[in-house]
Amino acid sequence: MMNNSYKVRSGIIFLCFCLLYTIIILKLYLLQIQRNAFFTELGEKQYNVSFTTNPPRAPIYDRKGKFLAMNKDSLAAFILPKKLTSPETLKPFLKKHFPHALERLAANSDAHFMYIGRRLTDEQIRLIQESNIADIQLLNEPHRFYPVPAAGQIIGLTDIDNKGIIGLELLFHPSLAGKPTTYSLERDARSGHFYFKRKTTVEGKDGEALYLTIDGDLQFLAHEELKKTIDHFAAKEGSVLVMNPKNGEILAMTSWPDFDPNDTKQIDMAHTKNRVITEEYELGSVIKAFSALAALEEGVVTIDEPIDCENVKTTYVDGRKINTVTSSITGLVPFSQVIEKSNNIGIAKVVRRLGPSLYTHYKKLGFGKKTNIQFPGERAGFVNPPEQWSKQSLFSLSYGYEITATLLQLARAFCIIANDGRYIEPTLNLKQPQTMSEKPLFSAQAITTIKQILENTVLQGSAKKARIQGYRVMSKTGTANILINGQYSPDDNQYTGAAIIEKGNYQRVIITFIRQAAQKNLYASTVTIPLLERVAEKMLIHEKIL
Amino acid sequence: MKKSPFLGIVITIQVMFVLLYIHKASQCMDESYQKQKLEARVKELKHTKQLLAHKIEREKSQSEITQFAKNTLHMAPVTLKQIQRIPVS
Repeated sequence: MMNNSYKVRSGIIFLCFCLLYTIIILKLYLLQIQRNAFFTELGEKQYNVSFTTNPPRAPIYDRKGKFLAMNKDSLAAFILPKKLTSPETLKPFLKKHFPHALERLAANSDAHFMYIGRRLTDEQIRLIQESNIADIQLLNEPHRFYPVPAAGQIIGLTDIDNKGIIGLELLFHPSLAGKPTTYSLERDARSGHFYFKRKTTVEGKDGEALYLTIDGDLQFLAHEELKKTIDHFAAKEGSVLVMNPKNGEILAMTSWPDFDPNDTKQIDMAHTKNRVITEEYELGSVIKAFSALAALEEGVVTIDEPIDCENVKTTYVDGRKINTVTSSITGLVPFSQVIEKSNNIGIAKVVRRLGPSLYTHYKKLGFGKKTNIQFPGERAGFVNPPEQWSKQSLFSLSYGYEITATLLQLARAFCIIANDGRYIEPTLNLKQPQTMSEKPLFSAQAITTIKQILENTVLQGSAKKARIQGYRVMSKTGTANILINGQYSPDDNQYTGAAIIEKGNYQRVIITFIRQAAQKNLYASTVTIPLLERVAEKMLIHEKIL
Repeated sequence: MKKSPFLGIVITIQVMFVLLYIHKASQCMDESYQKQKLEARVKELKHTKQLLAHKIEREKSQSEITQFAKNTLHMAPVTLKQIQRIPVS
């Protein structure tokens, strides 16, 4: 028989167990049912990892498959400020070798992660490795290497995060970078290095390589020649452009001042400009090739019509003062010699017969209109329209003033002459070929005549130095005063040379440009034409057109 | 059939299935481990390839080759006039 005290005690124990089980059930309810979502998520976070990988940035190749931009890993050093184990050794090291990092550490001591430096130099890597500081860890980061620095202004650059910031790296960033892939992993509990299951949650895409029309070797050769000319004349600026008029492909395009895309710490952003496309200039007499073409097309002049250039440096045509350079002074000469000698008075007398149709022809040649080449920052240029003309405008337009153009537009216009009047847009993308217009913009007769005049300019005119034995060279020079503070400065000039080089089926258009040489009283015939001849010679040997 | 041998057979078959399942699961895990090891190796080789490609491109530096040709080998640029054209018969 149980006594009362035993019953009470067993009752208490029973109640205690009931209470305990109630608490357990309650706790289970809270964990399993009420906070189910929270703990499920927490559990998934512990076992499942989601991570994103970026595909390697696609390379950029030249027309022969040579690298113009490729990937290269660099090292970055970082610390975890919240988990520093020996700040007493770290801080003096940072103070000595990475003072900026120490400043950032002082300002962000609560940060989870902090870079000490990125794209470390070999010397910095050696210092970090020799210091043996466990808090400093190294991380591999991709960045770009440019094997042909001479193509820097075309290719552009990426920033510290490998994102395109200028040039084609910027324009083609989405296709070069590709799309990142996101994975969900069920990782192992022990190492964390391996996983059980991998699931692709967001499907990525590899970057697409870019193939350019540029010839890396020719680009280098053109750049070397440009540098020599810049040094020789102590000039401030210069450019060279080589183009195939048959398909619009740009083979070389280089400018000075330049920059080394592999040394991003010392870059002057002004030097990263691709001046061939992003700068427009008043090109001077080189434009006479097109005012002459317009006059021939309209039938207002013939190649051998005598034009009185008055044998003077300065004269008045329709009450407007016209100057011509001393070297171009001539008397009564056939029209072809007006262009060959580049006489402003002669061309002014011819274009007054044209009137506003000169503007129409310039527009037809593509001046004042972008080429729509795939390159950021292209300029459209400007041609003064007839409704804004002064009494001087028609004359100014005939010898290359009141009209601004990029060197690429000039090359495009010369391609029209090279292509017997047919039009083609320039391109840098080998996978996007351009097609020539079927219908010529100018008559065959006008084109044949202007070609003959331009050839004579090389044989006996202002572009004699562009002559290359065994090749047909058609060229025009231009020397223009630069507008400084609203006035044309006779001491500050820009020199342009443009040529079409032919041999059989082979054709190239070359443009050379030099601006503000230290020496005064120079002409394009002595500055840009010798450069053009040297570039042409290198090009012909390189392309084995012998 | 007696009750106890029947139960024994059923339990044995069940245990065999469980063991087979464990064996297969461990095989899968082993294969997955090998695959991941190979993936890591591929990644490493790709990295090495990239380093070598970079080294080759550095060696092909046009300006350094030009300097070497000029200064060490005392070479001079070829001009068009120096090239003899051989007529093809």
